[in-house]
Amino acid sequence: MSILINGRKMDGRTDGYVPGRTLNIDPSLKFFARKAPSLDPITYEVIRNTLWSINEVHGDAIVRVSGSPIAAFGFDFNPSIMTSRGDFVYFGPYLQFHAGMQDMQVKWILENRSQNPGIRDGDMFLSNDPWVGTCHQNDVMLCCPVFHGDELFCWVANTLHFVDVGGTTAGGWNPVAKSVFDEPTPIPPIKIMEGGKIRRDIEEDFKRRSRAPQSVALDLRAVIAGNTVARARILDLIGKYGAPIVHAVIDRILDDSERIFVNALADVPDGEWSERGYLEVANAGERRVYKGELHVRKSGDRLTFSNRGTDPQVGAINITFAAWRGGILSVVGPFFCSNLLYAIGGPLRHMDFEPTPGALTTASYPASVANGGAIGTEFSISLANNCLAKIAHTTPKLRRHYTANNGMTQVAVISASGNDQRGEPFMNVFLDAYASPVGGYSFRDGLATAGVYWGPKQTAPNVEHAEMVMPILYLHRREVPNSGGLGRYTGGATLGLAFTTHKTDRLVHQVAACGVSHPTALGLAGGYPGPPSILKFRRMTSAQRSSVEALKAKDSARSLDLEVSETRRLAPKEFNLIQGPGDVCEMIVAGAAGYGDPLDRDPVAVLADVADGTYDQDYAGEAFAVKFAVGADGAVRVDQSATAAHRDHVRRTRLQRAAAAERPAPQVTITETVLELSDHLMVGRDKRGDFYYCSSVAGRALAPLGESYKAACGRIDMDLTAVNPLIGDPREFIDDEMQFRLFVCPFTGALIETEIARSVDVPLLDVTIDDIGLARLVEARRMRIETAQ
Amino acid sequence: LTARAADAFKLEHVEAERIKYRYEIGLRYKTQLNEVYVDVERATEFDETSLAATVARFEERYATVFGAEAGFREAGIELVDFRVAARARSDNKPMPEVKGVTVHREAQRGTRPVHFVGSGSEGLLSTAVYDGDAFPTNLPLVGPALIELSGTTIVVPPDYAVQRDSYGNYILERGASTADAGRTST
Repeated sequence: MSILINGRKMDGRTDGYVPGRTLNIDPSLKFFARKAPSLDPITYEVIRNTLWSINEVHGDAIVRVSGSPIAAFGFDFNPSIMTSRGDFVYFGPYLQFHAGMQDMQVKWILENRSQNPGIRDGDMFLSNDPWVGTCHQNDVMLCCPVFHGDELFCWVANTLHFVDVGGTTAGGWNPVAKSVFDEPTPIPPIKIMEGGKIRRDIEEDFKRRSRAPQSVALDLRAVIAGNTVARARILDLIGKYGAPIVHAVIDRILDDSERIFVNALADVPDGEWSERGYLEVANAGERRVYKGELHVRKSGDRLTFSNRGTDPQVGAINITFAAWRGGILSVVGPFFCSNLLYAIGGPLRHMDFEPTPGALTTASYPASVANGGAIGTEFSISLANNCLAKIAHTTPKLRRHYTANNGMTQVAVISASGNDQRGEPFMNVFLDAYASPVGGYSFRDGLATAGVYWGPKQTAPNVEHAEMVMPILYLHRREVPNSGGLGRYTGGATLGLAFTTHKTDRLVHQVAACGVSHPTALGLAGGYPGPPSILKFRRMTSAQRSSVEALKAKDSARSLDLEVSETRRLAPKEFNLIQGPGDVCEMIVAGAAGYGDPLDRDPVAVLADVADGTYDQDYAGEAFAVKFAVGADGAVRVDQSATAAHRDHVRRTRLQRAAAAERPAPQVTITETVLELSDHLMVGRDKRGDFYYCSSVAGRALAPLGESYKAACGRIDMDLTAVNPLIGDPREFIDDEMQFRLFVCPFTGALIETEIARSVDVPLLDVTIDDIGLARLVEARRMRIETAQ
Repeated sequence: LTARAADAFKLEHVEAERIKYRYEIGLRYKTQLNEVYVDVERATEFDETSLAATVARFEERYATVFGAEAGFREAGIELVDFRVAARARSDNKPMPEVKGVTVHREAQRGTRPVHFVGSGSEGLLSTAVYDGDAFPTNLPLVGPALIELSGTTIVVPPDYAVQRDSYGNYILERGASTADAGRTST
C-alpha cells in the first residue's frame, strides 16, 4: 500500500511512489517461504560472498553485451539482488544511486502488476518512470523475478543509462524543458520479457522512440543478459545448497546488516542535522537560484529524512522522490556500513522518508526531470553527505569512515551529438567527471581525481576511447592546480579537460548543468567548499579557422589558449550550442571540499602541496597563512615561527572583520567535554550538569543545546570568489546575491563552520542535539569505558 | 600462426608430435566491444558453408553465456580475429616437500585471546599462535589455534583439528579428535 502525505497518494502516478510497510499483492502470486532452521558460519560466508559476486558477474555481462560507451567505459549502471518482496540484499559495486531505487520498482510491480498482467517465471519488467523509481528517463530499469518451482524466490534487477530513449533533444538532456512532455516519455513497469522471450511488440515500441534504435536494441539485450546471467547463478546456488539454505542466508544478510547499523546508531546522540544547498538557472535564459534542504533526524534506532524547506519544483532542474532517496542511500551505505558490501536492506528497516510533494527534490508529475541524473541526484548526495558526515563524527567508530563532499556534486553535462568521424549520427555524454576528487577526511587529505565513493567502480574512459566514439580531439586532460577545497585536510585536485572537433562539420551540445555560478561541494567543519563546475568556450575566428589543422599538429594546448579574450564562460544551461571546427570547449569538474580550518593545516604539508603543484606557492601562502623562506641552498622552506605569528594575526583579523554576534555566549564555566561534533565544535557540560555547544579551541560555551551555536559566533560574509581562485563572477549568470560565510569562534578566531547561502537566507541551523537523550548516551559511554578498564 | 607457434616450441626443444593446436575465431555483434570465441577446424579455405557454421556456433555459444534472448543478429556480426593456442604437456616434476619442526610447541609464537563466533564456546579463549612456515608436518593438532603465514592467517576453531601435509597444505577437519584428524579436507 502506498502512503498518503499531505492528503496526496504517493502511488507513483502524480507523486513519487512511497511504498508502505505492507504491500498489496495479488494472492495468486506464491512466495517461497521455507527457511533452513540453522546455518553454519562457513556456508553462510560462502553463499553470502557468492551472492555479492553475482552482482559483479551481472555487471560484466552488461559491459560485454552493450556496445555503448556509457556502459562499456563509464559503467553507468548498477545491478542488485532483492528479496521476493523487494527488499535489498546487495547493491552492486557500480553507481550506487541506480540500485537505490530498484526496490521501489519491484514493490510497485508487486502491487500493480501481480494481478494483471501477472508475474511469472521467465518474465522481466522494463521501466524508466522516475515517479516509480529511476532518476531520469534515460536510466532504464529491468526487473527480473527469480522463481523456484512456481514460487517467487527473489529478484535480480539492473539500471543502465541508455544513450537515447527519445524526447525533444538527442541524448535526453534538455536545458529548456518546462515539463516532462518536453522530454523522453516515461514508461511505467511494462512486461518486455514473457516466458523467456522478448515481446517484439513492446521492443518495437521502445526502439521507435529513439534516435539510436540499434544501440537501444543492444543495450536492451545487455540488461537482459545481465539479469539472465544473475538469475542462472542464483538458481545454481539453489541447486547446490537447496532453496531453504539460500533463503536463510538472504534473511541473515538483512538481519546482520540491520544489527550493525543499529549498533552504529546506538552510539550517536539523538538530534537533527541539516544541510542546505542551491541550484541555479531553472531553464536556459533564466537567472534565479533555488534552495534545497535536507534534515536528518536521529531518534533511538531510526533515521528520518525530510526535504522540508526545499523550494518548489521549477524548470528543468527537478528530481522525483526515487532519486532523492537513492542519493541518500548512496551515502548511508559507505558511511555507516562500509563493511557490509552494500547490504542496505537491513538499515532501510530503520529509515523513514518524509518527502514534500511538489518540491524541487521530490517533484510531482508532470515536472521536467530528465536532467535529474546529473543535477538533482548529485544534489541529494551532496546534502546527505554533510548531514550524515556530521552524524558519523559524533561516534569514534565512524569518524574515519566519511569524507567531506567529493567532486562531481554537480555533473556539468555537455552532451554531444551530430555526425561522427564515420558520418554516422551519434550522441554521447562526457564521462570524464568520474575521475573527480575525494574530499578531505577528518584525519587525512582527500584524493586527487580518485573517483567518488558512491561509484566505486566508475572510471573515466580513456581519452582514446572517447575519441573513438566521438568526432573530437582532446587538447588536454589533467589535474587542475589550486582546485582542492581548502581545509586542515584538503579536498583532492579535480579534473580538467579541453577538446575540439575532429573530422566533423559541427557538434551540437546541450549544456544542462547546475553548480556553475556557485560551489555545490559544501565544506565541512570549517573546510572550504570545492570550486564549482567551470565551463569555457572559445569560438575560432575565421582567420584562425583556416589554420586549425596546422594548430592541431603543433602544441595545440598552448595554440588554442583559453586565457585569451575571445573565451567566454558557458552558462549553466545552453540549448543547441554549436561547436564548429577549431572551437574549443573546456570543462573543469566540480571540485572536492576540505575538512577543518585551513589555518590548522600542517605547514609542511602545504610546502609539499606547492612542491607537487597542487597549489601555487603564492596562493598556498595566502590560503593557508604560511610563510615560506628561501634557504642558503635556494630551497624553499617553511618559516615556522613567522607562520605561527602570521596565523595568529589572521585569526585576530577574522575577529575584527566579523559582525557582532547575534547573541552573546553564555557566561558559564565548562568543566567537561561530552561529545565531539566537529573539528572545533563540541558539546560540553558545566558544573551544574547543563549541556552547551562549545568552541573546542577555547573550551568555552557558545549556546545552550536548544539554540544555534552560530548565533554566538563571529560571522564574516564574503564574496563567492573568496572560496577559490577558479570561481568566476556569479553575477554573470544569476541575479540572486550569494555569500560565502565563515562562522568563527568568538574567543579565538578559529573557524568552526562555513556556509554558501543566498544573502537573504538566515544562517542554517545545522545541528540540534537532544538534551535528554544526550545525558543517557554520556552515561552509557562512561559505563563502557569503566567496563573496559 | 601454426608455424610460428611450432617455431616457438622448437626453441624450447619440444618435439612437434607433442604439440596440440586449438583454433578459435572471435566474433561479436556489431558495435560490441568484446568478442565471444568459438572453436574452428584448421580450415585451409574458409567458404560460405564453414562461415555459416561458425556463425551458428557463435550464436549458440553466445546464447549459452548471455541467454537466448541476448543475441542481436540484426546489428550484423563482426568477425574480429583468429587465434591459435598451441600446447604441449611438460614432464611432471615432483612437488617439493616441506619440513617443519618436530613438535607444535617449537612453532608457537605466543597466545591471543580470541572470541570464536558461532563455535558454541562462550567468551574469549586463550589461543595459541603458530608460525605457519615452521609448523610440524603430518602431526595433528586440535583447535583452537591461529596459524600465521606470510599471506594469510588460518583460524582453527575449537571444534576443528588441523594437520599440515608433506607439501605444506593445511587440512582442517570439523568435529575431529587428534586420532582421526586430517583424513578429510574441508
